[in-house]
Amino acid sequence: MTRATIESMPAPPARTLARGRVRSPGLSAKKRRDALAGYLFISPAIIGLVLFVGYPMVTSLYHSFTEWNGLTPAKWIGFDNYVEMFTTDPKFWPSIEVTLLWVVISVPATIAAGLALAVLVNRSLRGVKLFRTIFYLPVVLPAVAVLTLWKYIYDPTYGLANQVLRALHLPTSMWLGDSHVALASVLIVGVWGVGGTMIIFLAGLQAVPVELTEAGKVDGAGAVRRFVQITLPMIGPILLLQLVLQLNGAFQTFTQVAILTKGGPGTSTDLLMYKIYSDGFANFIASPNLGYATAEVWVLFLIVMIVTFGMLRLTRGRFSAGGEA
Amino acid sequence: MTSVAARNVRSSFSQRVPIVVSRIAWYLLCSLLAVSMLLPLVWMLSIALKSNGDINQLPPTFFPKEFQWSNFVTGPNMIDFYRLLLNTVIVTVLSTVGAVISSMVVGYGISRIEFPGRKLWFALISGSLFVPGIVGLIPLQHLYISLGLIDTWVPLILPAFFGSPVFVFLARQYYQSIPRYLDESALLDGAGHWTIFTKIMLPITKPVSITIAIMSFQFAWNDYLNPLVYLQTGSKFTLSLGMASFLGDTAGSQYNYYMATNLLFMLPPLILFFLAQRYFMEGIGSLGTISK
Amino acid sequence: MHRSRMTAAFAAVALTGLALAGCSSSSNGSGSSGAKVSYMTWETTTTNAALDATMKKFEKSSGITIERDPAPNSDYAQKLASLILSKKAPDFFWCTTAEAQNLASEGLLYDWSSKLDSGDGLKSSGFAPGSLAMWKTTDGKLAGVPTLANTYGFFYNADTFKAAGLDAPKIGWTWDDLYSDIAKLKEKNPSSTPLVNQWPLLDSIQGASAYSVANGGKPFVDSFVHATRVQADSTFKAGTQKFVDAIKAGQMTNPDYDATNAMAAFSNGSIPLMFGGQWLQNFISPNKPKFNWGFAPWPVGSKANVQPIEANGVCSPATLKNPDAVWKTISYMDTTGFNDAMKKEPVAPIAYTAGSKGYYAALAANGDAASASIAATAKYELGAKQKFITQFLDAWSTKAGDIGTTSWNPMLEGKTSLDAGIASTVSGIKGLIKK
Repeated sequence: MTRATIESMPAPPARTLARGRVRSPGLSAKKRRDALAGYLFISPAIIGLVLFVGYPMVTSLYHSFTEWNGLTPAKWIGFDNYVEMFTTDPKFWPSIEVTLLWVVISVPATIAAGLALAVLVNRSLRGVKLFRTIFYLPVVLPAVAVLTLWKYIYDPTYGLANQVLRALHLPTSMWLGDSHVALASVLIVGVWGVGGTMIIFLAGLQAVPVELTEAGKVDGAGAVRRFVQITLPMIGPILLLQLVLQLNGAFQTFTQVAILTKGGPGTSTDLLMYKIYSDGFANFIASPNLGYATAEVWVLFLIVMIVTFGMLRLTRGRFSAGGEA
Repeated sequence: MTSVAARNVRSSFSQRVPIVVSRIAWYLLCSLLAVSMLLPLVWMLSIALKSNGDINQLPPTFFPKEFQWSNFVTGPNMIDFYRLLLNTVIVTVLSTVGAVISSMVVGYGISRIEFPGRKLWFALISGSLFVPGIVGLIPLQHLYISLGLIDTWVPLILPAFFGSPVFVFLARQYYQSIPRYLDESALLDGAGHWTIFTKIMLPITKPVSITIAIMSFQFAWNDYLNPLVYLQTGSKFTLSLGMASFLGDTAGSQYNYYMATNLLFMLPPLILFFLAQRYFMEGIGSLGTISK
Repeated sequence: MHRSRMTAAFAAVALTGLALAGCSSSSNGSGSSGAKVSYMTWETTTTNAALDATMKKFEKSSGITIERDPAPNSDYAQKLASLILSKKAPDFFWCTTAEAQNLASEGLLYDWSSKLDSGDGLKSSGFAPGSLAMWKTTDGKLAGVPTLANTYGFFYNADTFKAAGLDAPKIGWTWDDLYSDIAKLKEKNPSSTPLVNQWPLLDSIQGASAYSVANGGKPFVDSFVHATRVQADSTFKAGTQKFVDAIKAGQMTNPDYDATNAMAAFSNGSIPLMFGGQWLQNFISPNKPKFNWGFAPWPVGSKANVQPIEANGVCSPATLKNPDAVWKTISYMDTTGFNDAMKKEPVAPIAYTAGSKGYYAALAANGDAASASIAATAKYELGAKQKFITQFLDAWSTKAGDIGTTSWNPMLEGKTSLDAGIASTVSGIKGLIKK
C-alpha cells in the first residue's frame, strides 16, 4: 500500500492557488494588444496635444518672463511683467473687474436664453422646424458682418434701437457710447446669437423620455413644476457641460468687443482677452509688448482654471443624470 | 403606470379655447423672435444693393435708392472672388476631411478601447479646450517660418488632422450611446479594432460624422486669423481674408461691396447646414445622453 | 460605388490642394532686363490702382520691374511682422513714424541717410519743415522716407457761422477765436454740441502741449522720441483747463464720443465745426453738402504758430539687396508717382513738397471753394516752421495710451479734478520714460 503524500499529489492549477492573481498568458496579450491599439488610435490627438497645445504653452510661459518684440530674440526679465501687471498697469485691475462682471452676467443670461428658446421650440407644431432653423441662423452668419450691423443698430441718432424706443415714446440711450450701458449692449448681441446653445439644449430636451413628463402631468404637477423637477434634472449633464463651455467662452470673449466697442467707453468693456490683443498685437510693430501680453494670457488662463474648477467642485453631484435620484 | 386614456377624451370648449389662444401666442412669439433673427440678414441685403454715395447717406434709408444688383458682380471682382473661392474650398474641404477622420478615430480609441491611461488622456484632450487659442499664435508662426511652411496652406490644414478637442468630445459622446454588444460580438468573431472601426462603427456614427463635418466646415470657412497670420501672397488668400480689404480703419469702408460679397460668402455654409440639418440634430443629440 | 466615388473626389481635391499648398511664392527674376523692386501699402483698392498705374510708367522709363504685394488695410502690422520674420519683407513698405523708429531701434531697417545725403534723387531740403526730423533716429540714421502727410484741422459749415454772426474759421485764426466761436454757437443752439472731435487729437496730451508751446509755455515732453523729461507748466494747465471747461459747457464733444457718423452728420449740415484729418474730405464731398463749407488749420497761439506734423512713410528691411534700384523707385514715387496717384485719388499731401502738386491740382480741379480751402490749409500747415508731433513715438506708446484712457480722459470728462488728472498723467509718463 503506497501512502499518499503531499509530494505525490498532483499540483492544483496555479490559478486557484494564487487566488486568481496569476493570469494566463492569453489575457495579458489581449491587454497588450488593446493598449497598443488604443494608443495608436489616439496618437493623432497625442501629437496634437504636444504640438499645438504643449509646445505653445511652454514657449509662451517662457516668453511671459521676457521682454519681447516678436522679431528679435527675447530678453529675460524675470517676474517684471507680472509685477507691472499687478502694480503699475492702470488698465489691468479695471479689466479684471469688467471681465468678472461680464462672466457673472453673460453666462447665466445666455444659458437661460438658450434653454428658454429650446423649450419654446420643443414642440411638434407645424412650422417649428422652420423656426428652429431661423433661430440658428445668427450662428451661421459671418461674425464681422453681423457685428458691423449691430454697431449700426446701436447708433444713438440713426440706429434702429433708438428709433424703436422713440416710436414707443421711451427714453433713448447712448448704448455703446454710454459706459454704464455698453456692456449690457454687448450682452444683448450675445443673447441674440444664442442659437447654438439652443440647439444643444433642444437635443437634451428631446432626450427626456416623454413618459416621465406625462406621468408628472397625470400626477397633477403644473408645467413649471414639471419642468423644474423632471426635465431640469434630466438635462443636468448637458446643463453642466454648457455651463463649463459658456464660462470658458465668456472669459475669452473678443470679437464682439473688437468690433463693437474696442474696450470703450473708457474701460467699461475692456475684457481681458481684448486687452491682451490691444496690448500685444494691435500696435506691436510700433510698440512691442509681446512678453507682457503673454504674461496676461497666463493670468487669464489661471483665472479660468480656478473659476471652472471651483464651479465644478460646487456643483459636484448636483448635475448627475436624473434617473439616479 | 396610468393609461393614456386621458388623451382620448374629447376636450370641452373651455379647454380648447386656451389651447388655441396659447397656440396663437406661441406663433406670435416665435414670429417676433424670427423677425429679429432675420432682420440683420435682410439689412445686409439692403446695404449690399446700395450705390457708393448711398451708403453714406444719413439718415440711412432701409430701401436703397436704386437697386444696384451689379454690386454682386463688382464687389467680388474687386477681390478676385473666384480664385479666393477655390482656395477657400480647398482649404476648408481638406480641413474638414482631417477633422472628421481624426476625431472619429480618436473618439473610437478613447471610447471603445480599454487601455491604461485612457481616462487621463481624455481629461487632457478635454482640458485643452481651456487653453486660450491666442497662446499658439506667435510660437506656431515662428515654428512654421523655421520649417519654411509660411505662406502655404499647410498651417491651415494640418491642425485639423490631429483631433480638435471639441470634435473628439462630440465623437466620444456619440460612441458612448452605441451598445457594447456590437463590439463584443465582433471581437468574438476575431475582428481587430481597425476592422470594427471601419466596418461597424463608421456606418453607425454617420450622424456625428456629419455634425463634425458641418461644424468644421463652418469654422474653416469663416476662419480669418489663421490665414492672416500664415498667408502672404494675395493669390493664396482665402475669402475671409480677401474680404477684409473692403474694410479700412482710416480709409473708410465700402460697405456695399463688403455686404454683397459677404452674402455670397456665407451661402455655402448656410446651404450645407440646411441640407444636413437632420443629421446635425442627431449628432448633437448625442450630447443628450451625457453621463459624466 | 458611392463611397469610392467620394474617395476619388476627395483624393483629387487633396492632391490638388497639397500640390498648391506646397507652392512657394512666385519666383523672382523672371528674366526682365533690369532689377526687381517689390513694395507694400495699406491704401484702399482704388488708391492702390492709381499707384499701380503710375508705377507702370516708371517701369517703362527705368527698366525696373515693380511689384506691389497686397495687404489688408486692417491688420497690416500682422502681415508686415510675418514677412519680416520670414525674411520675405518687400523692398519697401508703408509704415508709420512710430513703427519706423521702433524697427530701427531693433536694427531691422535699412539706413537711407547716405543715399539722401548724396542728393541723388530726393534731397533733404525738399521736405516740408519738421517732417524729416521725426524719421531720423537718435543716432543719426534715417529710418525711412516720409511720404503721405496728414494734416489736421477744422471742417466748418460756413452758413451756420454766418447765421450766428461769426466769421468762418480761416488760416491764422487763434485759440481765442475758436473758444469764442463755439461759445456763441452753443448760445445760438443750446441743444447741440458745436465742436465735434472726429479725431482724438485736439484735446489730447499732444494737443494741450501744442497749446502750451503756442502760448509761450513748454512742451509736455522735451523730445519727440526718447524723451528724458516730462513737465506740465502753468500754460499747459491753462490750456487743459480750457478743454475741460468747453466739454463741461457742452461746447465740445468728450473723449467717449463715437465719431463713426460724424462725417455723414456734417454733410447733412447738423455739425457746425468738426475737427479731423484732411482725408475726411473724401467722405464729405461725395455726399454733396448743400451748404458752403471749408477746412481751417490748427489755431495760432498768442506767442507762436505751431502746426501738427504727421507724415507716414516707407521703410526698407535691413537685409535690402538692391538699394540703388529701390532708392530710384522711392525717389520717383515721392515726386512723380504721388503727383500722378494723388491727382486721381487725392488722399493726402506729400511730405516731399514737389510731390504734392498732384494733390493740390486734384483739389483745384474740383473748382469749389471747399476744395480750395482744403488745399490752402494743407499747404499752410505743411509749410509752418514750428511743428508738433501728433502721438508718442516711443516703444511705450501703447502704455502711454492706457494712461490717456485712465488718467487724462476722465479728467477731461470732469470725473477727476484737473490737478489730479494732470499729476497722474505726468507721473505715469515719467514712469514709462524711466525704463
